Amino acid sequence: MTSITQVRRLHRLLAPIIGLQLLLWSLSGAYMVLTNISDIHGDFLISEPQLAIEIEKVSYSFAAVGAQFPDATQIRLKQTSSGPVYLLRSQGRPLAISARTGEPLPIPDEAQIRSYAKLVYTSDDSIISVTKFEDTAPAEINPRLLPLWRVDFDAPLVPSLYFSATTGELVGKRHHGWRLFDIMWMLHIMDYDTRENIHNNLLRIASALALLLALSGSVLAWRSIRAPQPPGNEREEDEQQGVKQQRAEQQGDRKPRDRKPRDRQQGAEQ
Amino acid sequence: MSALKLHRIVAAVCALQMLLWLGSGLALSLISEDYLDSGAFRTERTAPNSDAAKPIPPGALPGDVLEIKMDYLLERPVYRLKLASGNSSLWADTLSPLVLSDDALKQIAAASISAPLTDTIDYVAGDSIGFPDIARVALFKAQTARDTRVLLDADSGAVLAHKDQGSDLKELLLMLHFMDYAPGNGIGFNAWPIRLFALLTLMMVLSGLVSLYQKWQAGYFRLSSGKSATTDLIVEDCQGRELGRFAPRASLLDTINADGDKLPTHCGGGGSCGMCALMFIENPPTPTAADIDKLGQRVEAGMRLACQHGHCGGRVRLISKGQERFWQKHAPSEPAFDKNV
Repeated sequence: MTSITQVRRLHRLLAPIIGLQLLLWSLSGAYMVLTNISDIHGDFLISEPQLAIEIEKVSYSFAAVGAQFPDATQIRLKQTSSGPVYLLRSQGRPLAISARTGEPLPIPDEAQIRSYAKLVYTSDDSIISVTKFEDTAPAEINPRLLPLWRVDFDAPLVPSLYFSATTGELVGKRHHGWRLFDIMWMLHIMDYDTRENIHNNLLRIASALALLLALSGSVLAWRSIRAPQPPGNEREEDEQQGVKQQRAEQQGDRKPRDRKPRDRQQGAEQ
Repeated sequence: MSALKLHRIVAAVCALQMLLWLGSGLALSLISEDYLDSGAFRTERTAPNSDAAKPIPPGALPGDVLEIKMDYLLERPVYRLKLASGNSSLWADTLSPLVLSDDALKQIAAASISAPLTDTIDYVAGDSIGFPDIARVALFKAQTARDTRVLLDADSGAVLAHKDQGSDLKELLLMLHFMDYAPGNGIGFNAWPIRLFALLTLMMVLSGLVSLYQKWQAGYFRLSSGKSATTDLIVEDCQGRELGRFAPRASLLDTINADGDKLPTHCGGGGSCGMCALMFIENPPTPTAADIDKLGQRVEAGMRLACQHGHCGGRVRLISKGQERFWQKHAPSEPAFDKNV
């Protein structure tokens, strides 16, 4: 039968092995639950103008778009500062075409991206850099969104806004809060490569060890708040009596004359 | 308050939740994603030709349309309108408002799954089933071994989700992990219980690590277990008769109890019961907070809790008859005391 001493030994053995990962789980978990997820998403960074569609200016129909791009998916009509525009994906790439003429819109240049970034960004921080990504996306953004412009702002959280290089649409927003969240998520699921796979063996082993640590800790915590109970077992009576005596002596609330005659007799024999 | 005491108190509060976190996390990691994924019977939609979509004439729509998206239902094109005041849908081939009967909803559900549906249809409020933005959810059951259900937005006909035993289990584990015990609005991890317990758990782990560091400083976790006459511990009874000699272990308590319990303890070495107190005849180690807490002024006379100190050599004495009786009952018959030296 496992004794309380063995449980404590197990707890003390596992603690240095898995303690650091428990700290990382606790820190990363606390960060992720204490921060507001909408803040992490960076919703506070942008305020896109909500423009109503000028239907009277739309002369190119959805049916015409479908006929022009038979493989098109996600066809949407939106209003932009330059008029109504169809946004769609064709051959895996985003595309913007004019709803007036059906012609693909010219690819936005850096000046247009800068201008739109300043328009949608909620603060008046200055732009520190504008970078175009054609083939390789930064790790913090989905490569499916390529090609991209990234606009970095001079602010404490180093916000970055990502725009499609073909349509000019805002497709992502990142800041140090998000980046820290991403690192915390990586530490939490222990996938230091893709930061996506929760089915990795490292996590499984660490979780199993931590579960053992927590189980043994729970037994100890329960034991520490539970007062010792004298057992009804006759065989144990003597030793328990001795234990009680010892505790009484330690507390100083019981004098030697209070001992049972059998205790005194045993003491004399010794 | 000592780190160990804080650790013990917070652990008592957090213990069950720690087990739930670790258990649910381990289960999520161990169970295959294929089992947890409810999309086994889901069919891919192919968009039909949009030729039938009519152009939208001026004045046919409200003035606050922010976006129009092309969609398809029952092989017919549909305009999904995003309005400043909400969302609505139109049949794109007639420009009439989208209204879906029970039969139409069932056809949509049936087209989304490769298994037959039962005849029943249930309507439930979206905020009771994890879709707070949907007013009414139409729920269909499929005839599969995994209890698959198809959930549709009853107003727009959009397929919201397929659910089955696997996804139910995943939701249960996530609910336990995120402590969101009212997940009707969707499972989130900013619920106040998890925030509270996250802070308590952080406190528990930090105090545990501080306690661990203190143990390490006190001589626990030493790698060497070599036997040396100079480091042996000699234990005496209350009258000063030698009971045994012991080679080093992690703590004094472990040293004495290595081959079986000779010194009584209730807490197993946590410094909370005080039953393993010993009197140092010579060179007592520096008293710990637990020593002072449990023994008070007696630490000045050399009394220490055996569980609170790493191995140190020298002579120690039992402090009570109770310890002696416990020792005599559990130790091998005299004088074979030094079995583990």
